[in-house]
Amino acid sequence: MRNTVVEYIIGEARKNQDIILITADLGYSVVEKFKMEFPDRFFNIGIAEQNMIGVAAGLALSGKKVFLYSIAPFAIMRCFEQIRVDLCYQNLDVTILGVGGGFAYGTSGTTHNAVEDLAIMRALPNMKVMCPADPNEAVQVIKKAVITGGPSYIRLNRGGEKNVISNLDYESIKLGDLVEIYKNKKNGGVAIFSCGSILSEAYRAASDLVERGENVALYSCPFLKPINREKIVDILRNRHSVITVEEHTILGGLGSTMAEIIAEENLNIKLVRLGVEDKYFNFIGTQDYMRDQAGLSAQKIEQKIIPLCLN
Amino acid sequence: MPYDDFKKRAVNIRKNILRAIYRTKNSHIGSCFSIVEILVALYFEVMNINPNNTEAHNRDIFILSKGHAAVALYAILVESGFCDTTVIDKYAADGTQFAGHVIRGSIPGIEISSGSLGHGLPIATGLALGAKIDKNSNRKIFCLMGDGECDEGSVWEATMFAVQKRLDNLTIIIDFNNQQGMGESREIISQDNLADKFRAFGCEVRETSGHDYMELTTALGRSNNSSRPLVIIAKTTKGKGVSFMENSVDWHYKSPSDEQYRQALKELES
Ligand SMILES: Cc1ncc(C[n+]2csc(CCOP(=O)(O)OP(=O)(O)O)c2C)c(N)n1
Repeated sequence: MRNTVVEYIIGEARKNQDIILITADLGYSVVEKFKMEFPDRFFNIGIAEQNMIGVAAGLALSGKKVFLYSIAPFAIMRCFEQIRVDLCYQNLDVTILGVGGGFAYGTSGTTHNAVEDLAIMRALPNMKVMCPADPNEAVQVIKKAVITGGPSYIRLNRGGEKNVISNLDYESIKLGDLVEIYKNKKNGGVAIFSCGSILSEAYRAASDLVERGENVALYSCPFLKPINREKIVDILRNRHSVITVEEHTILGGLGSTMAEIIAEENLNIKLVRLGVEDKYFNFIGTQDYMRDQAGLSAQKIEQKIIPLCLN
Repeated sequence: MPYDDFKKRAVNIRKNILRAIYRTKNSHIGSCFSIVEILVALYFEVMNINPNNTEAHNRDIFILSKGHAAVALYAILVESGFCDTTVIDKYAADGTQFAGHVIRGSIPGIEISSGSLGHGLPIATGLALGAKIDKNSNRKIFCLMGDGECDEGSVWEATMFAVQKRLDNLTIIIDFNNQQGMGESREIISQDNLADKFRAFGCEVRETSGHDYMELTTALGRSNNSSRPLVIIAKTTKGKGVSFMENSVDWHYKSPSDEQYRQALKELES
């Protein structure tokens, strides 16, 4: 996913002289291609994330279109207040690419996991928050970020993941849109909303249920903010249950977004939020293991959906 | 400690590091090999610590600020009797606490959780201040950082405060291998004048080899009568001990193949 994104930025940089890529000493075997082609527009700022944000702000004020690259907690948490004041408050055109979303670096431990990032970024005015599921979605969200301008945060997983679904029409997707994977076959039923690369698990769960004839829908939400509220309300109006799936704390991410919409739109619908419990894990493991422990494996997701189908 | 013992311990530690990383392909092997002799000197010569009383109130405290060298810390704790080799055998295993970056309390002797660079020195400074507040404490704090880590502003904020408060019970050790995440530090943010920087900030600075037993134990062991924090700039080689890993940024990330493992083992044992 990260390589696809850098490829895309390289393509844009060929057309747009103002594009700059900065890393805070990360991106081994990812950013080198950009550096080779545009040595004057690539900077390794060192292990200095606060400075990275400030320098990016200065470059944006000089008319540059800046992309930043680091591991998610270092890219946004170390330098949160710089992001708030320098980028968001002044509404500058800087895109932050945070790799290692969720438990992608699971064996590295809590310092390298990002399960609070979406909530933190969502709280900032002007910030666009994106969490693509796979390389296809990643290219789409970054396209929209480039066109729209202003500050954005894009959470990426890591390298090597495949597209979850390859034959969807992504070109028509606009900023904030959902990606429809399965539609409900009739009124009632369950709608599943998933955010980020955990879609691969949600998709397996949903596919199994669809095959068994259950009335379930699946939507991927690569944009968390802004998000197409009308479209969501439209889907929810005719359902009896909705379930959100995110590799993120259940506080402040997709599940919370859904709860806000349901409450504010007076929807009479049951909501189940699947995500990471509000605690630090006192153990480590691979991404698959950590997902399973958090109840986010395909099997555990499916077990949560099944009782909703009986309604 | 006789010189031969020092050598033997360093070899044991490197072999355990190699074994753990070869098995799991969870690297930072170069960063680990860089600090082996520093750890042996600290744990066997310099620090007041006791593996049989790891919570002792007056113990010295070691802070691994460059938390990505976790496996080196696991290996020295094994070597000095704080724990058995489970941590090496189960390194990075699902459901354990033997993470790629150290977790406080995972095994006795791991005093803080680290892994995000530039956090260790502020915490070490707080510990040193704490020991000063407890008037009868003669505890010393040792904080090990990378030269790349010194890019972080928090390092310098802590240094200024430590100098201001005359924290002479604080020793800052820099693993100066002139390498960081994406290449040579000199090409990214040069730290060539790091000793001068720390001096200008008001620290007592000593420069030493980071691998030579005599030099290292002298620099670390000689008492600090300056009423200033002590900085030891230890000149090291990233990947030290295995020829093809030395001074190569690749081995920040790479893990040895079967063939490379055998070759590395041969070199370490020779
Ligand atoms: C705040 C933060 N930013 C980035 C990283 C990613 N990272 C891990 S090790 C490393 C390079 C460290 O270089 P140095 O301190 O010189 O230690 P070395 O491994 O070279 O001994 C980087 C950038 C991190 N762990 N923490």
